[in-house]
Amino acid sequence: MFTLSGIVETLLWGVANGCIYILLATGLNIIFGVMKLVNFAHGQLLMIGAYVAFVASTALGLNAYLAILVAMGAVAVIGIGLERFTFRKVLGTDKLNEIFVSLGLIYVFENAAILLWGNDSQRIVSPYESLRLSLGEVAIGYDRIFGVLIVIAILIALFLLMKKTKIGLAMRATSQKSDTSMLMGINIEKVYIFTFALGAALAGVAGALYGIIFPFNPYIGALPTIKAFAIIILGGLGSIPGAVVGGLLYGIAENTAVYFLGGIWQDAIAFALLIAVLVLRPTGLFGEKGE
Amino acid sequence: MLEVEKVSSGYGMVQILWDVSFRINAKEIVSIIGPNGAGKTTLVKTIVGLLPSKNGSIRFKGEEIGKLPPYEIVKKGVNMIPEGREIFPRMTVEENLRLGAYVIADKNKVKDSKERVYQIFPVLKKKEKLLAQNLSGGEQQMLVIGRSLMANPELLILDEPSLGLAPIIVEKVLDTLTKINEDGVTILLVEQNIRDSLSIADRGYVLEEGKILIEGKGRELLSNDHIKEVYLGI
Amino acid sequence: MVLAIKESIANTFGFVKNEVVGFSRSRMFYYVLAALAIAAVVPLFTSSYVLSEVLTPMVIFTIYASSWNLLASSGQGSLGHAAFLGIGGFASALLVIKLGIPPIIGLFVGSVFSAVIGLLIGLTCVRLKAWFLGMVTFGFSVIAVTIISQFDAVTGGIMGFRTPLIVERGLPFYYLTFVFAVISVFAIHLIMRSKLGLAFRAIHGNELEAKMNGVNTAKYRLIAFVLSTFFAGLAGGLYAQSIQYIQISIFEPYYSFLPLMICVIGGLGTLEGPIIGSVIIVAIDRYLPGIDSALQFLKPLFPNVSFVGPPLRMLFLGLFLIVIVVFAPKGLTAFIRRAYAYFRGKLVTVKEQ
Repeated sequence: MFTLSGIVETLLWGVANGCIYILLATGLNIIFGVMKLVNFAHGQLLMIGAYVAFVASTALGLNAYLAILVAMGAVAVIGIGLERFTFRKVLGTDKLNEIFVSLGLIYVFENAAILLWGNDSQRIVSPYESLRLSLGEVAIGYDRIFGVLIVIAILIALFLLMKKTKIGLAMRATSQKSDTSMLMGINIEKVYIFTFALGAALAGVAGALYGIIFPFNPYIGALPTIKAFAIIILGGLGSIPGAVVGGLLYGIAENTAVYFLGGIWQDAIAFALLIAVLVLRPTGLFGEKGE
Repeated sequence: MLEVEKVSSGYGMVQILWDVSFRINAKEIVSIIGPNGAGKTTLVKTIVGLLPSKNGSIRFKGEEIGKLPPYEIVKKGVNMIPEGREIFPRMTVEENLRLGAYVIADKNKVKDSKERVYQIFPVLKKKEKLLAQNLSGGEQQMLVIGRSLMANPELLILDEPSLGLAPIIVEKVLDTLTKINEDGVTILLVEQNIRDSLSIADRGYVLEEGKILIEGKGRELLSNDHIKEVYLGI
Repeated sequence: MVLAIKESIANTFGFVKNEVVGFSRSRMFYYVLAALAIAAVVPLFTSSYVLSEVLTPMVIFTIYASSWNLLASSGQGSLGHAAFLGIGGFASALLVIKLGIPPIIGLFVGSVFSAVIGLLIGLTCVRLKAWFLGMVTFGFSVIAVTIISQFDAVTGGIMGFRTPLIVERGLPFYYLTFVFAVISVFAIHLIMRSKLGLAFRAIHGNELEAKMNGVNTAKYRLIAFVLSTFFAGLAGGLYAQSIQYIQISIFEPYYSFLPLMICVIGGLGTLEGPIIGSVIIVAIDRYLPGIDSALQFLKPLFPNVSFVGPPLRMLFLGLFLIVIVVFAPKGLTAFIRRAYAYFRGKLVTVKEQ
C-alpha cells in the first residue's frame, strides 16, 4: 500500500539520490559548456571514484568521509591525463571521434576495475551507517543527510569559483566565445585542463558518495551517465543552476517511479524523461548554440 | 614596431595570404584596406597567433612572435579587436572589462585602467552591472575598445570596427582611435570603409587577393588612380 | 501521381542499371568477384564449428555494422543500435511462433518492424546533435529491456526461447546469410552513390552548409535512421537464428558498441570497413580466448579476479580503439595503406640513391 509517510520518505530519498546525480551532471555540463565536448565515459569516472574511496577507507583505514577527498584528488588527476592524452587529440575533429574515444575509455576503465578489484559488489563502510534521523514515521539515514550537505557545500564553492576567481572568469569567457577569449590572453589549453579536472573531481566525489550509500561494482558507470544527460537536457545545456534543479527533479522522479511502478522502471524512467523533454521543450536542447 | 615579412597563411590546405610584407612604426596609425575576401581578417588573425603562419617572419619590437600562441602575444603588448563586436554577451560590462586585463596580475593597475576606460566612455560606468548583451550596438563597440585598452597595449589591431555601425557612431569611433593614438598607442586599422580609415591613417596598404598591392601615405592614397577607380568609383 | 511514381521507379531502375554496368566494367569488379568467390568457397572446406561460430557471425555482423556505418555516414552516431538488433530478433521470431507465418516472411516483417520503431525514435531525435542522439539511442536500448521484461508473458524475453529457423544450420544457413549480406552491402553501396547518399555526406560534412544549400537535413537524417534500423533489424533476425536462441541479453551495451568497434577498426564511412572490421573483431573474439590460459600467469598480480584473460583482452581492445581514433582516424585499412605507401616511398628513394 502507498502511505503518506512512504511518499514523504520517497521524496526525501529522491532528493538525496538526486544530489549524486547533480554532481555528475554539473561536471558533465561544465566540461560541455567550456570545451563543447561530451565525455560518455563520465560515469566510469564516478565508478573509479567509488573504488578509490573504497581503497582509501579499507587499505588506508581512512574515515569514509575523508576518503571522499582522496577520491576527488585521484579522479581529478585521471581527468588531467584523459584531457591531455586522449580528448585533446580529437577535440575539434569529427564529433564521432569523441564518442569513439569515450567508448574506448569505458572499456579501459571497466576492465581495469575488474582486474584490480574483481566483479563482486563492494561497499564503503561509513561510521554512521546505522544511524537514522527519525521524524515521526519518516526515517532517513545520516549518510544521506551528510551527502546532501556535502553537495550543497561543493555547489557553493563552485559558485564562488566561477564568480570570484580569475580561472572562473576565464572558464565562463571560454564557454561563451573561445576565439575571443584567446585574444584576451587566456591560455585556453590551461583552461581546458582545469575544466576537465574539475568535472572529473566532481565525478570522483559523486562516486565516493555513491559508494557510501549504495553497493557498487565495475559496471555501475553506464547508467549514471545517461541519467546525468537526462538532467542536463532537463535543466538546460551549460547551466549549473539548471543542472541542480534538474538533478533534484530527476532524483525525485526516479524514486517516485520505483515506489509506484516497481523497481524495474528505475532506469527506464531516465529515458522516458529524456524523450518527454525532447518532445515538449526541444528549445531546452537547441537554445544554446554549441557546436 | 611591427614588421611582417613574406608571411603566407590560410585555413588548412587553403592558402589565402601570399608573401605579405609590411611594417608599422611606433605611434603610427596604419590602415590596411581591401575588398571583401582579400585576406584582411586572415592577416590579422595570423599576426595575433589565431592562425599559424606558414613561412616568413612576424617581429614585434624586434622580437619574433610568428610561432607564439595568442596569449603570449597579448602579454607582449599586442591586442586585437576582432570583427563583429565580439563581446561576452552573458557577462556584465565590468566582467568584460576585467577579461580585457586578464594578462595583468597587478590588481591596482587593473583598477587604474578601468577608471581610465570609464573616463573615456562614461556610459560604460553607468551600465557597469548590466549584461553586455543588453547594450546597444554603439555601446558594444565602446565596450570592446575599452576592453582592449584594459591590457595597456602598445599595438592595437582593429578588424572592421565600422562594420554595421551608423555613420555618426563610426565618426565617434574614429575620433576615439585618434585620441588613443595621441596617448601613445600604435594602431593597425583593417577596413573596408576606405575613405574614413585612410583619412585618419598616417600610412596605408592595399591588400588584394592575398597580396599587398599598393603602399602610400594615408591621404595621398585617396588620390591614387587604382583606388579611385576600384574603391571610390570616381 | 501514378506517373510520378512510375517515373521515379524508372529513374531508380536506370540509376541501378547504370551503376551495375559501370561497376562491372571497373577494375574493382574483379577484386570484389574474387572476394565473393573466396567467401563462397572457403566454407566448403571448414569444420562445422568454424562455419557456424566464426564465418556466419562475421557475415551477420557485416550487415549489422554496415547498417551502423550508413547511419554514421549521415553524421549520426547511435550508441544503442542493439535496441534494433534485438527488436528485429524478437519481432521476427515471435511473429513466426505466435502467428505461424513462414520464417522468411517473419524475418522481413521483423526488419520492417524495427524500421518502424526506428522511425518513431528518429522523429524525436534526428534534430539532435551527435552526442545527444548517441545518448537517446543508448537510453532507448535500456528502455527496450524494461519493456520486453515488463511484457514477459508475451515476449518470453527474460528466460529466452528457441528461435525458428529459415533453413537448416550449417552450410545452408551460411549461404542464406551470405546472400543477405551481399544484397545489403550492395544496396547500401547504391544508396551511398545515389542522391540520397550525397545528401547524407553533405550533412555529415557540414550540417549548416547543407541546410543553406537547401537540403532538408532533418528529413534526410530521418531517412538514414530508418534505413539503418531496417538493416539492423535484419541482422538481428538472422543473428537470433544463428545462435538459435534469443533473450534480453541481446540488448546489452556489448551489442550496441560492437558495430562502432567494427566500423572504427575497419574504416569508418567506407564500404569495406564493416566487412574487414567484422572479420577482425569476430576473429579476435573467437580465437583470442586461446591466449587466456597463457595470460593466466599474470593472476598473482590481480588476486581479485579468477580469470585474468577476458578483462585484460577487453582493456586492450579499449586502448586499441583509442589509439586508432587518435592516430589512425580513417581506420586500420587506411593506416596500413598509408604505412605501405610510406615504406614503399622509402624503398624507392633508397633505390634511387
